[in-house]
Amino acid sequence: MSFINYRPLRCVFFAGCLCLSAYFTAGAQEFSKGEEILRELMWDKLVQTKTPARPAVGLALSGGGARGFAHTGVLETLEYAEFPVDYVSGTSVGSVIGGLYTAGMSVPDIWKFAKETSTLKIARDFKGIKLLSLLITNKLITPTYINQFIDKNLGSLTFGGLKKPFSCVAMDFRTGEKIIFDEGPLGIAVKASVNLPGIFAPVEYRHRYLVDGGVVDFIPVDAVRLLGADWVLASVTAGASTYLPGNVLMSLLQVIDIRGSMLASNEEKEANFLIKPDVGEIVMADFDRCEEAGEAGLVEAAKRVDKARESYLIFSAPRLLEGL
Amino acid sequence: MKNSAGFLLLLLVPANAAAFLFGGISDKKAEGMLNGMSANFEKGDCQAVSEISASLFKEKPSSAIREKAYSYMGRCYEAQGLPDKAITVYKLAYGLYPESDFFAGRLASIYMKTGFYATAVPLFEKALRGRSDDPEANAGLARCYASLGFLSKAKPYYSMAAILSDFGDLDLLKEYAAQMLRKRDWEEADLIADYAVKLAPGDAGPREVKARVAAGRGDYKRAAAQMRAAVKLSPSDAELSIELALMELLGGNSEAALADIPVTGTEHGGLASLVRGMALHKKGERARALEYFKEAAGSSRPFIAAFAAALIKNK
Repeated sequence: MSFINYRPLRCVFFAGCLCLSAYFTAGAQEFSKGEEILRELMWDKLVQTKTPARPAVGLALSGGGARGFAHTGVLETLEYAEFPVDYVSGTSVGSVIGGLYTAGMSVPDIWKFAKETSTLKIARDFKGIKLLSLLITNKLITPTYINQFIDKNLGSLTFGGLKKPFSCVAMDFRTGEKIIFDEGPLGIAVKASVNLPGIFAPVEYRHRYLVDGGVVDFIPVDAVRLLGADWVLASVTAGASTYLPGNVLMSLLQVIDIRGSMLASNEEKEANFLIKPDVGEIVMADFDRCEEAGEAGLVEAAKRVDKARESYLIFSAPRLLEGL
Repeated sequence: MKNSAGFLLLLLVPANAAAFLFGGISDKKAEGMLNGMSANFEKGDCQAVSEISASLFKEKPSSAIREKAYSYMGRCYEAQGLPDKAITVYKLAYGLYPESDFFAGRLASIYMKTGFYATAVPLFEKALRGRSDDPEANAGLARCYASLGFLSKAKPYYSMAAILSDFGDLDLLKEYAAQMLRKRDWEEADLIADYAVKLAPGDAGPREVKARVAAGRGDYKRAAAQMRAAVKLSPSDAELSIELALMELLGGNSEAALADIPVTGTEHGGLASLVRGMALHKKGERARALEYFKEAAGSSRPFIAAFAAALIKNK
């Protein structure tokens, strides 16, 4: 574990303080015992309830390159809470994590993927970019290893065959249109969603030339609502990096990143609840730090999950009452 | 902090060139001083420990004696409630004796108590590499992991700490069970609550955990029975009674819920009104229910107030 950059959390383990509420809120905000009783018991009831007796929950996973692995930690925390996730959407790296999750990959296995990313060949697609050859040949490159990974893990699947409804977002490079995929083969849709413009060649599919959806829709809240979500939790890994790029490639990535963050500031207002892990200092292409991003995601989600549950409970209150 | 660091640096300055060059020349005298530190530490006289330490370090004692002296100083600062000074001593000592599990463990413990969980984790891990059967370090690492949200990582360390304390530490068992509830690991929470019930049959807390486990599993009949046992053990606790009422209501028994809601003052009034309103709503008494929802919506507790407001909005 890295545990390097986390800010200290408020200590709630006071000696002699043995009431349940103190322990329930460890690592999170403090609540009154009465609120804790209401939250925990109504939550038990809520998670035992199927839609439409409760509102459908959508999970929107943002882009963000290596930072996007923070979604893994968010997923783990949601699993601890048995947070119902009925629909998932993803942009860019969010489409990869979302695709794996809705295909049925367990959260520990997604963690394994995050931990191994630095040694997987995926990073080589970035590290191996030779700017000189890009300029000389005047051709965009194909992300061979990323494509291989997607083909291996998602290539044989279709949207219809997933365990949960899922959509992902790409952009038509010729028209600038936002394209939401929610049916057909999964692999090519995810490849399109994660395909950085200006570096990787557009994915040609259904007479369109597709690139990373993060350019037009960094947090796919609308996409998950279109699937049927009533209440949306967004996991957002927008960048706030003060890193000064040292070359053309990193400059391009930084511009994409800044553009994503600008989009995020508007789009996050559309979500019912936000979890924003503190991963701003991780650079998009820093695939050596995926595990650190995941840990940051988990720490932030753990701090926020009780508030997220309360928000969803308040939204669900009328239906819960009718179901009593 | 700054002053104590300066003081510690002064302690490292050689007062005697021969001792500095050849080392251990004053060990006999230093050993006597160390014994004095030990005796005063046992008596709880940290002022004396501090005074002796100043003289001791001037003697340039051997490394082993210095290591022990640092441990007395650090523990004295801890006992005096001066974590900043204790951290300074332990950090210095840990730098000088990086193999020491003791200094790693003490540093970890202070960082944990002051809320620096992420800083404490690698230090606890270091301490446990040397002493894997240390119950305090196991519990400390579990607590840090749990506080950061790493509940799966916390579980084996809680388990080890409970085993090492022979399931005889009630506070630890309650904490362990509560974290397993948070993880919604019903089986483990129930098991640990059973140990706690055996250890303290008159304590309502473990019964409440068992009731929560049953509610989490959707067995509200069992949940209400366990909660009733908890209320019996602590009849003056209004919140336990409201919790029982809510469990009855969620199990479909609105009459029992209404009967169980205590008459409360304003302190717990919001939740009591909300539960009463929901029970009346279930009975079909919508107008009366609305009155109670309005009462609850005025609660000073934001979640209770917002939940009640959402119910009113729907009417």
